[in-house]
Amino acid sequence: MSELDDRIKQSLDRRAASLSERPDLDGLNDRIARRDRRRMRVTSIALVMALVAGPVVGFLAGRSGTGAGPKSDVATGSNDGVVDQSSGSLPTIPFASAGGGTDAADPNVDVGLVGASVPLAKAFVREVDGATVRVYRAAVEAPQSDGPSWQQPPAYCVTNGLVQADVSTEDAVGIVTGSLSAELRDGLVFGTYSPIGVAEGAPLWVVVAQAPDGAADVQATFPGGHADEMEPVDGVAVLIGPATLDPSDAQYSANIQLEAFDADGGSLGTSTAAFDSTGLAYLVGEYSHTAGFPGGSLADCFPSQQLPPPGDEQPADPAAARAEIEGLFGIPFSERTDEERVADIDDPTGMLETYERLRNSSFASDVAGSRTVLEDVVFVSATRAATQYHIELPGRTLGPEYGEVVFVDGRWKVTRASVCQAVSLAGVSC
Amino acid sequence: MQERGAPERLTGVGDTAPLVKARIESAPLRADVDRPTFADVYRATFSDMVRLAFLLTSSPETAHDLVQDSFVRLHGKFDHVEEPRAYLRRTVVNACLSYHRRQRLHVRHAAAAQPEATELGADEMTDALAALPYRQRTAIVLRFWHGSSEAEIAAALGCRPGTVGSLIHRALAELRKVMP
Repeated sequence: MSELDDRIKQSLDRRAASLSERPDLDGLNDRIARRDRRRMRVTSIALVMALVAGPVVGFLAGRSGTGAGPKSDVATGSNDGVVDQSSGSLPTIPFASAGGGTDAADPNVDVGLVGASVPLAKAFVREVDGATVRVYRAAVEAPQSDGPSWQQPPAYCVTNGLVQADVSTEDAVGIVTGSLSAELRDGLVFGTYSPIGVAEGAPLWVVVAQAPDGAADVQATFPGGHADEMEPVDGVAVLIGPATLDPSDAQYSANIQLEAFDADGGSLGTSTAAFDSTGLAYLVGEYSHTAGFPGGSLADCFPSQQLPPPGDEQPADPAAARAEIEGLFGIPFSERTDEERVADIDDPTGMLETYERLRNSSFASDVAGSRTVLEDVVFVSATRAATQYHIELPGRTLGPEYGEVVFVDGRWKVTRASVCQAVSLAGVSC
Repeated sequence: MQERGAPERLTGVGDTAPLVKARIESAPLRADVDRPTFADVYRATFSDMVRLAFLLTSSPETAHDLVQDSFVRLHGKFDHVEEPRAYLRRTVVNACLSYHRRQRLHVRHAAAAQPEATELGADEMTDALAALPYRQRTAIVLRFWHGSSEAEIAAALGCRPGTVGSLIHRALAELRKVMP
């Protein structure tokens, strides 16, 4: 090692040793929680676009007779601009790889809301205002459904499609990824908004919109009044407009309106997405809405933390049914065999293997000393009941947790989905 | 999942901290019994990673911040990462590179470029290292402070191993010019 090498090493060692930093798990915990909330918010923003674009029927009726309203500022000569259109079946992205951030090989890759792990199918190419928009699509596999049925989110919360728009102009290129929902409510428009070309100094808004059934035209109106519109291709429209984003402008804000029209020019709904710039290239979506926003519906997308109301039909002998259900709880894990546990599950497929994984998980010692304790039961029908319980572990208690039991083969059993949800708390999947 | 008696409840979009904490402490997220948990990796590598980031950014606060963010990224992918330490090293190096790019952009937008602040433990060699292009500086730090092999440096920088030799050679040549 040369003298210079020695000097470098000594300098670096001295400098590194001057820093005393201790692990901060609580701080990390907070950051991870914030990250999770941001992801939820991104999903929520897209979802809100679906929700707020839905008009009150009366409101729509009032407008539908007046046509689509002023469109004079629509991008000139680009009423549609679709120059190529493909058809055929879509590839399916496994749910396990959807949701972004699963590419372990490259820490730089973080694909956002939904990541593509299979080649996408080309959907259409659009040329508008000097930009070429290449649109690709895939279906997204339905998620594994754990947990009781009354906690399952409605279809409009479930992403079932991916749209990737590759946008290129003379000065910039960018990719915007949007998601599609399994269902749109009441003729709603679903939009994913993103800017491209900010760092290149040639910013452009890109909106990936999922149009409702019956939509013949989708229009986005950007800051400054410029508008773009197109007839959706298989329910999808990709709209672009000029942006004035400046990376140094910390106070930036912009509103974009999205509207869908039927074949007669009647509005199917309108929404406004508002964005604030909080950094060089990061936009945090906030949203406002027009009349007709079904406030509170977002909460439907998150599991309820309350038992559902009782059903109209109840077991013939509720007390006896409850006593039998209580017998499914309370037994320490270590006092039963896997076979005995599996016998209490309505669909035992693969559950022996699941318990094997649970006992070999990092929770093994906790699992061995655990037991579930029933807190409450609500019969949602004569043969199905929602349960609230907690899990006693050595030194601590987890809960409340929620599950479901069903009356099959002459006795009450825990549903497989409920057990799968419980074991997922230990990082084990069915 | 929530500990009974904890002040927060998991009720929807927010309040995920208890769940996250439980998962941090209970990793591994997959079933490999011998695999270190996320918390193990965090405790074992945190100080090293902060020092690496400090040597690359010259700011203790930024180093702490970037490394915490890097662990957040690792947490989201821990189940899929074969070598968490190598992944972290590359993530931290990339985060520091992004930080430098942002700094340059800020400087461009500022009325006048501001010199880097005098840092903790600064000396002539520190100044000389700070003046190196980022990839050269990273290669030097990983080689001489971290003791990384060329292959490991190449992995962290996302380049071919042969490029690492070239980066170090050019960095040393530059340092020889400026160091008395």
